[in-house]
Amino acid sequence: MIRGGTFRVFGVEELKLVSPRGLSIPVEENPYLRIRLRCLSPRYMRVFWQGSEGKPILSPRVIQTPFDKKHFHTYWIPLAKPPEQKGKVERVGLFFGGRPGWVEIDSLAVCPFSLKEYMRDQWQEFCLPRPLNPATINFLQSPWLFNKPFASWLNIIAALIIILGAIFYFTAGDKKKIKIVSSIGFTMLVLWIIYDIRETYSQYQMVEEVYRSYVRPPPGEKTFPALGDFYGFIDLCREKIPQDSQYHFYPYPDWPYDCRIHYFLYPRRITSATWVNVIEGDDIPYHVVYRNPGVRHDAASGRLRRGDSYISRPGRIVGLFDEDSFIFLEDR
Amino acid sequence: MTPLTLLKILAAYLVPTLMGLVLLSWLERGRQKLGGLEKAALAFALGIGIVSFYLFYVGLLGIRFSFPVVTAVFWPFLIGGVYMAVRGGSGRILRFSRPRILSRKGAPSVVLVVVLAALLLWKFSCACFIALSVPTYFDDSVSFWNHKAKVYYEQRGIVREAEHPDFFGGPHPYYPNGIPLFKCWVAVWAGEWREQPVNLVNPVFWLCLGALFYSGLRRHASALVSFAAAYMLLSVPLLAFHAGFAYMDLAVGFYFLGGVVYLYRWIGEGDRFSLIISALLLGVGLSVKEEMVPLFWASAVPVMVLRLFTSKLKPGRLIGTAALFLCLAVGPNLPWFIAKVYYGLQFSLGPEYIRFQFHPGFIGPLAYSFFDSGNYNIAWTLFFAALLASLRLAAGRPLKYLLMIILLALAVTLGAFIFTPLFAFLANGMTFNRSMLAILPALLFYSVLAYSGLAGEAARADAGGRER
Repeated sequence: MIRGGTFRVFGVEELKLVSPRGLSIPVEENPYLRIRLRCLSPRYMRVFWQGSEGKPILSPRVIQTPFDKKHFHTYWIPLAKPPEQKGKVERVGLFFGGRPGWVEIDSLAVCPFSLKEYMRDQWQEFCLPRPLNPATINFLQSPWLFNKPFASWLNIIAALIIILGAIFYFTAGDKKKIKIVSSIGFTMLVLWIIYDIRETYSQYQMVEEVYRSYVRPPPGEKTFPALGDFYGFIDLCREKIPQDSQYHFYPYPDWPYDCRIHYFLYPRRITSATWVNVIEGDDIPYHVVYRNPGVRHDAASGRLRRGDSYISRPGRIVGLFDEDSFIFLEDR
Repeated sequence: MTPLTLLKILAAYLVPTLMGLVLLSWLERGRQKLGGLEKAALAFALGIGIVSFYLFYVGLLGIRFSFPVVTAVFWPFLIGGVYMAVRGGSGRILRFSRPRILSRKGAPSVVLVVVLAALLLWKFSCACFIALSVPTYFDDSVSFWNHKAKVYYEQRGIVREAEHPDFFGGPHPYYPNGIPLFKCWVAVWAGEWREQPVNLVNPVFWLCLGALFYSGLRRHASALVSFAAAYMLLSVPLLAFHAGFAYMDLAVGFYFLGGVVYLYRWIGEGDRFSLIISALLLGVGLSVKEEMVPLFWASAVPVMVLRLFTSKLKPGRLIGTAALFLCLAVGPNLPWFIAKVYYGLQFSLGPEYIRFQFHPGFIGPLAYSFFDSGNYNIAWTLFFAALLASLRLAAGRPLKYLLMIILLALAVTLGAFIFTPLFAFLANGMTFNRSMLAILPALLFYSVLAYSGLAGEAARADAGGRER
């Protein structure tokens, strides 16, 4: 599927994309595959190429794509290794494994290595904002630089300095030892600050995103990362459902955030597939439908219908957010 | 938000701090044992404990959380504070000394301090901006911390009927109540449930953590080193991130660090006051999050007992000291533990996680989390290096007790993820990283002491050599 200038493909399990034959790129030119993509589920990617004859050759590099639905990431993958390998690259293939989901490719090129472009891509990759999604509280991704997390580079440098420092420390005289410990301490602080400056930039990007999407959003687009128009819908529910009421909740299938609507609308009481907070025996007159095309208001009967069955008594829509999101109140 | 509401919210944070100050001043018995910054940080943390324990007892008795009932806890402290201030002057309650970070330092140090202070100020501003502008977002902050608090606030008390959907705060009744009850306290003061004031507790904890860390180190290292180390702790990326969002691993990190710092001070100086502070902080920590239970029983208590046995105290004194420590830490939590037993609430982990299951594949995810993720900067490399370098140094000093505490804390935390089905949360990089925040401040505290010890040892050896 082509959408907005990008090629989108959905893979349930493993996914393979192969170029047509006839690329005819000489191996001596040391060709690289430069690909810019984003994966909407955690994926790994491998690249293979094939000459005019023989089996496909798998590039040893395995790309682990970050769980980042928002930004495109650029990778340079060496295809053939001259002089061990000879001939021509006739076709190139991509292999995706991991979780099912969309893969979106913005650009793809087989080209000779260009230091200038490579450095530009690396810098752009390094400066990408950190994805903010419900998992971010558990795990912060490090920015990447030269195909490795920036944190890894700094840890390697720190470890090397400490090892060197330890060698000097144990062979030095007492007077020098103080200097060595202070120098190591100062160097560690400098490394720490280097990472922290990049982290400070991430914090700035996050604040900017929050400001843009939630604090001062364009009219009608009040949102927050990963939850889309949820907060606008919550405002409507607060307006239309009295505080002492109870409601049924029908989210779109597999929506994992029931706890949020439960929390934000409390003391209104919820009953849904995953959360039940209603007082047994009390009336539940409201039905809250959020981005669920499976629940429809049947104008003829005045009731809500899911598939072939009615799920409410007759009533009316008291709050319409959009076609798939609304608040329904049963007649009493 | 009206100016009056702002004042009320300010009072919601200041009143517990004042109660904590009065408690600490009373414990000091007229002798200044804590610095101003240190005392303010401890006062806030202990004040939260006073408020939340009080509300829990009141709630258990079925008393409604009306404003007069909720604020009644303040009056004895106010009277005590006024009495102390009249007798000993306001300086007895809180006295700040001039910061010495920049005294007699050259231009490079001034530049360094200014850079670090600017970075910290930025982080604090970001945390406050997030806490004050966005709705509660992440799962546990919604379904554990704020939901419980909102239920307590809306119900104006603790629902004790097991069949009621709001029983002990709703969906997770077994979870500790310290923070939700403090958030309920803030909402009662504000007069309504608002996201911003209740979530402000995280940036405040972050500040207090820095103040405690700095003050704890200041006894063993120069002001500049302590400040730089405090900056490093506060800028641990995952910790700084948590400062803006309503998760409570940062608070556990604070209470565990506090417990460890004062326990270590008691071990080194034999000062009963420090032992009491340690016990109180660990006790409040037990009411904050379940993770504190294993840290307390498997790390702090064994080392405290070991220290007692090696200190050659008379049996009566030994038992008395141990009893004091345990009573202060566990005593305030007893009603909660009894309520858990009475209502059949789950203790600690769910039964599906309490079984031995060794996962030999732990090294990969562990190494990735420690060294390749963006969670900890280079903190783990520094810690492991400090650990290796200081084994000999620690052996003959009180530092060995600190080493034991952190090794036990590390063992109990890592062990849970390596030897039980909790491994899933290490493999997917989720809960594991947050659990590390509980012990990371204490680990960094040890690391800085170790490096300072190595430099100090070299300095002493050098001075000894010159004398000879």
